[in-house]
Amino acid sequence: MKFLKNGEFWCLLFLIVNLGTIGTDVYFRYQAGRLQPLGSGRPMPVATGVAADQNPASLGESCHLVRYASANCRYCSAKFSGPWDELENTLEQKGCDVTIVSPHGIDLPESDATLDGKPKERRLVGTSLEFAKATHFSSTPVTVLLDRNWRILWLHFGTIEKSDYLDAMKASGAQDQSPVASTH
Amino acid sequence: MRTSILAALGLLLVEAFLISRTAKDYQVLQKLRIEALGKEGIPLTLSSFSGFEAGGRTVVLKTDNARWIVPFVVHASRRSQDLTYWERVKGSVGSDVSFVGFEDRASETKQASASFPVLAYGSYDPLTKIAHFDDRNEVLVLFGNLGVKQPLKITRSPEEMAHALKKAIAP
Repeated sequence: MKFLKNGEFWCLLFLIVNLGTIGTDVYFRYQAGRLQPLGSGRPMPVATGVAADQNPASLGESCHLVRYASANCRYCSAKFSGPWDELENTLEQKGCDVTIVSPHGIDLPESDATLDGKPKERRLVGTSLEFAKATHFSSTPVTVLLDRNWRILWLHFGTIEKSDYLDAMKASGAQDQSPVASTH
Repeated sequence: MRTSILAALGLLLVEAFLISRTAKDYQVLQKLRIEALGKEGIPLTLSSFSGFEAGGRTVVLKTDNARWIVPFVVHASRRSQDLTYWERVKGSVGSDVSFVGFEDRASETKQASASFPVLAYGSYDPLTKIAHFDDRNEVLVLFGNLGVKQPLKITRSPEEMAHALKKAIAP
């Protein structure tokens, strides 16, 4: 029992316990990462599909903004979409394209962003299975900002607040400062 | 002696910090596990489900005399095997069932020489469900009104699949 009074024994014991806890935490994070396919830096398939107006808009060179929203979702309505509209306009000015996807295609929310009376966004009534499978959004609204190579820069579930807008702009700024990657 | 006691206390403090962080990460993991479980339930319906050809043309999912619809995934990695498989299932089941394939790589969509439509695009939410059951090696059997009858295991042999399908849709 003499060793119990030995400080070095306790140091060694706590060190082993520390390492065990770190290992457990790494395991939890790894498992959580596996259940969360959409994370910053991860690739996402290009949001290909059929546009509501059958008129495919060209994809932006700088970045891509994808919004999963529905006309049936209260928090996707104009009342809660101020910062979203601001984000959309700012990023469009930076050369990004905007894609709107809705759960059923027939429930695309109304668009405020118009050019010559037509929505500026790509509004998809149908998407590829590859895109649907990879994203698997189950609630609206979801907003994803991607770099030119369709890697996730920023992802947000729920209504966009002013602070989220700032986070997204920060993420898009980080992409501006990153070295030019090859376009696909 | 005093130094080692201080070091031990320091390590104890580090442990307290690590435990709180691990507990938080465990809660996040549990939340994600519960969410993932929720996604695995059998949907009641694939309402408002539309399919589109690569060119954008809308395709009617149910043929006139069909009472059931079976949407399935055509995997780019084994495209011809998948098409042959479902052709044989269709041949054994008859016209009561409409078969509709969805390409898992829309960019690689080719002209399919199949007796059922093979589509490039579809409504987002129904596609996530079809893909989810395909991951479990299952297909959803739908009523003509797009309500879900039940999922069915995709068997190795098309004859077994046809048999299971006939059994599932039997009155």
